[in-house]
Amino acid sequence: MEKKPRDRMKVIVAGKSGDGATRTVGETLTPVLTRLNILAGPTYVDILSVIMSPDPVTTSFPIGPEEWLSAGDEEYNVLISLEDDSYKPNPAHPKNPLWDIKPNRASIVKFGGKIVDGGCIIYDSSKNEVLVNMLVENIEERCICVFPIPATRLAREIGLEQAKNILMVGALIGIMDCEEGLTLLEEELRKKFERKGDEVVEKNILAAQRGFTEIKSLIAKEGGPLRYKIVPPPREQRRQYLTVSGNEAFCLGALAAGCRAMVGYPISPATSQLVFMAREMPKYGGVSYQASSEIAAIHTVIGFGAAGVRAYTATSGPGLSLMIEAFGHAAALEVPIVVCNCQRKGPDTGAPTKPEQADLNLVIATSHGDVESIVLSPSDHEECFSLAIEAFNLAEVYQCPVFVLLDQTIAEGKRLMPIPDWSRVNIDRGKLLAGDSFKEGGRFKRYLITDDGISPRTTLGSPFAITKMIGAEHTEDGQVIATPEGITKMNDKRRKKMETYLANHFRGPHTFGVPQNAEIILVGWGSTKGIFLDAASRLSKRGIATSLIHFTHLWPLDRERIRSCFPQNTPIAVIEENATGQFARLLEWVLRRDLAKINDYSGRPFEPSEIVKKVIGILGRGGAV
Amino acid sequence: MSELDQKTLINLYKENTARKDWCPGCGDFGFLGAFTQALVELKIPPWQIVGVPGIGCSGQIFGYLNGNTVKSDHGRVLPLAFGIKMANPTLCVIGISGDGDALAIGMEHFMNVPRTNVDITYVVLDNQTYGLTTGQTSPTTSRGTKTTSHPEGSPEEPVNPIVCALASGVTFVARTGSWDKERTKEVIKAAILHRGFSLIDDFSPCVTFNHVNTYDWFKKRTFYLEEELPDYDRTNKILAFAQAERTDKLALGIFYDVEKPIMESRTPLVDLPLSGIDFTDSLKRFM
Repeated sequence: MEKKPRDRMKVIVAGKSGDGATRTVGETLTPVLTRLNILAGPTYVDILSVIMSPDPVTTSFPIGPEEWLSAGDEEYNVLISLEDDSYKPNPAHPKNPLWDIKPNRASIVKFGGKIVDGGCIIYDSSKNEVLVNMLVENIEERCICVFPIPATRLAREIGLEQAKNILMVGALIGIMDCEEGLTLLEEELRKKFERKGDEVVEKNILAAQRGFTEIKSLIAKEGGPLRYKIVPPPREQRRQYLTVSGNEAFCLGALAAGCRAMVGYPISPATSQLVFMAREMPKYGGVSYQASSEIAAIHTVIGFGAAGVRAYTATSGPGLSLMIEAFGHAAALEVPIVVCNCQRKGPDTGAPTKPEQADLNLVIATSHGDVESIVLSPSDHEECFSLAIEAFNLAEVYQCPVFVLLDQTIAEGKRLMPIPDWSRVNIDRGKLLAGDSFKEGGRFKRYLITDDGISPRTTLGSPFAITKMIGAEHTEDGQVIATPEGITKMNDKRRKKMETYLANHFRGPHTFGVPQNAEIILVGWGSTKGIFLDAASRLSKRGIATSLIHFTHLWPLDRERIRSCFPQNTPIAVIEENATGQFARLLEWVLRRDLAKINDYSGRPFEPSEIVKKVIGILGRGGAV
Repeated sequence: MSELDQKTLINLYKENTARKDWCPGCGDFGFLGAFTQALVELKIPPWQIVGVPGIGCSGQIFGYLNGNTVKSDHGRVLPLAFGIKMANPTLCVIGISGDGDALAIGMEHFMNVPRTNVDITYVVLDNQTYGLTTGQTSPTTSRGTKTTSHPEGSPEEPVNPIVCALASGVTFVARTGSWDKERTKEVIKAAILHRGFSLIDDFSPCVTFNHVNTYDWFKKRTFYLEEELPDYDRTNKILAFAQAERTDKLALGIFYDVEKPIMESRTPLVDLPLSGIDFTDSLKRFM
């Protein structure tokens, strides 16, 4: 075992639904890690789409003073297993650890093999001790340390059984060997339980302290050198951060952008946006509304947009499919709308709590007919915020639907984000005329043909500006038209807007490394950026020079500009969490050549090591990874 | 804007309107006349109304009336109208659907949006057929009526819009016959003035594709609630249901009219500032 304690760790907290692995632990541990500036990468929430899951639900936390490129591979330093059922090994099946122990110790079975050498397993031993070495292979050879803590029993002794998971958080802070963390945890518990009275506060604090001292005495009993020591940056160097999920960052961006109406329908993994807005939107005078379906939601959003209010909906796959007709409606009416689609594993109901990047084709097509829309996809949490603002601006400037593609990983995973500088938020309402700029009657030419394709608009109700918005093909003043010339003219006008967008607002990909020097160029889009940067860094350590070209502005594409980012003959691997290479097809069309593709559609986020292995495979290099 | 006199208003409403493509004799003409007159008498300028028409012959109505229009996809009049009204409570929002638009494809919204009691008026121009697609069965076609989609006769019970409206919490429920312009106009005015969600089911005969529910057919079967039942209590939902379920005769007039809390935005959302706002309160929980 290493002599020097490790200064970083990835922790997975697992338990049955209801044990608090995602909620209670997340809500108490996250602010502590935030204040200490040691949440080193994105958290990952893995749940199942049932309320009482037989399988463990988990949250993982990368912890350390230095920022990680990504949350890394699916391996952990510390497992905290919250299940507390009695454990009965069946002597009739000594070789089958799953026999009789599922689901009550499922998290040890499931994640025990993913603990790295020198790691720790902490579990609730209240009912009895678990023969962990029967459930996890090579515990001793791998120097994995097992700490039984009777969390439920100890919490019951304190007089508050529910505090068992707080006790485990205390134990985790003990493993981190970070006393200051315990003090901050106490402060957080005080805040969290204040309204439940002093007694609840004190008992939770006692539980946290008890977990901390319990683990300390177990570590002392084990002897040997300390395995982990997390040293936060010195106080004076710490910054004040927000820890937000991608969904929350998007919502904050929407508020900052002046969005004052959100209409949604509950669907994983977008529900937390509806919940956030229900709480926050009224504070700013806006409307948050749960509609009777996604169809009702999107048409209500169009109503807000038509009236002149910045409005959006958040949804996911099945909800997006229901809204398809309305996207064409908004595009034909030229009403600005923003749709935040938190992609989940499809098709159909698919795996509602698992990530995928497979809705790109759908949003690009947008609806039946030739439909103009803009598609963005943030690559990290800060971009969830900044692209939200950009989306609302683009929607109003180009008067069309703007899609923002998140996926389950970034939508629900949390990460540190600097506090936004509100004064730097730029709001561009495009050609919106003030409601009092009309002095006499007559029909307002809502679809006036202009050089850039964009017609002036105004808010509904502006005196003397009678506005007709219709989805049937129309004249400049909104009368139905069906002549070939009239139809062509309006189609051209709408297409012209996208040319204007490409000239004025399209942003090319982020380029990391030097493509000209790369042996292979990795291409990605959306939330996978950190994982690819991590893979690129690992490849470079193995002597393979790579460059990452990562896209956030996915549609429409400026082909000339994108071509100029790629050297002529360097191999390119497009890496996506889908089976068909949806973006790869677009890039093949842009670059006019066949590209290598790396696809994972298992409903798991990519692991950097997996990409390393596949890239080496593409380059035809042998050797283990 | 109330300084505009009736003549100016009528001219404004009739400006820039399209050629009327309804069949001669269509019931929708009667409704259009009554509707325009109601808006004029209420002194609502055309830039203050927002017409939200659906798809079908009825959906053309706002092409023939010079007011703001946001045309809906098929069946989606109510959620669209709801969004517009929530955006700006000063607008007079009026949705107009046909029976297919409102009660077949739009039934989800017919049963849900009224529960908000948002202050909008919804009109169903009910001709018991799909006229624009040349005579298929509609939700209000009576059982046994032969149509192009059911040549042996409609196999289903029709939807009763009044019963559905009462069940979904509409706070003003009325039925009109578009041939009686004067009474239709008065009901429209009452519906617009009603604070809350108002529904008008307007019998509007299709002279081309519905040879069963003709003007004569309606005139023989309809009666006016206020004439036949002078003591009728419009606040009693049970009585309203009873009148709505009658099969011997069909009542016209106001079935139900009560005041209930409404959902609305306190100020026009369009007037809210977009920038210069302190969001600190929303950040606390993330620190």
